[in-house]
Amino acid sequence: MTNETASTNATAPTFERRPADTAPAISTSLRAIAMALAMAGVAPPPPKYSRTFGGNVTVIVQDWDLSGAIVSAIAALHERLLARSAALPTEAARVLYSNLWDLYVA
Amino acid sequence: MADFAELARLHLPEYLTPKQKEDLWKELREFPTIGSFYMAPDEDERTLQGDGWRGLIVLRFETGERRPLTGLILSNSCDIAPANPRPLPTNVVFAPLLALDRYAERLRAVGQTKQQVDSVLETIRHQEVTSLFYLPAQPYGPVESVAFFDDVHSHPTADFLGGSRTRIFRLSLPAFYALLVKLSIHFCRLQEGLTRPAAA
Repeated sequence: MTNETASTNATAPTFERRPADTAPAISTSLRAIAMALAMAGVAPPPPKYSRTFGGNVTVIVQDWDLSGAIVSAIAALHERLLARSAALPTEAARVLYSNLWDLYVA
Repeated sequence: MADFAELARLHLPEYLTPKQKEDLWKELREFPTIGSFYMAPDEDERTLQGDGWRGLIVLRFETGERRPLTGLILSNSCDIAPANPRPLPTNVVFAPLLALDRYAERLRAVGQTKQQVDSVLETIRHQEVTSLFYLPAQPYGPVESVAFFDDVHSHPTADFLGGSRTRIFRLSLPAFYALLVKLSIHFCRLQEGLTRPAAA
């Protein structure tokens, strides 16, 4: 049986969206991200520690932390946009609706 | 909440490097200020959600007039990909772009004061109007414009893909995520203020 609407069996396009310009160097460290999340009430999972035979300790901050931070940022963005959501003033909305055909970008 | 967050993580792009993820995180935090709203042009011919394409056609309901124009693709990338054959024809769903400078002119023409016009434009530029997605004039982007989610059209996919068309822009990842958030806010309201009791 074929499901016309389900996309689960379809090939999902994998595409990397790189920005147009070189992003400025970001000084925010992973530690700062963790601190920001902690301040926002989202506790990131603790980092893993790897001990070598020489006695050196290497801290491995998991990629998982960044994914969690992104999810939190998306949720925060959603809340922020909802909190600031506004409608156009009546006259501005009327002008928009009544001039659509003339405002279209060719 | 924790389960939801874990599910959401699974849908994040796995192919991003840690640096790219960090950039994405920072841009999302600073939205609506996005440093690079658009990607640099490339030869990719696919039509993806959030792309701006010239060659889409709108029909004017009142007169039947048709006009090719530039629109923002709202269909998900999967459903309009030729690599995914469908048992029935699909349509490309899009919102035409509206030029912001001409909109400002129309507002002034009906007697809106400079302060009123500036206020409307500022609200739009801060992405505060839920029915509009603001597209800034940045390198590799369109003229400063908006896509109006209440003015949505469709174009048969086969006709669009086989016709004369040009990609005008492609959103960067943070801009794409912002579009998805705005689409969800405009079209999906979990809290609509109505109890919907099931029929007995």
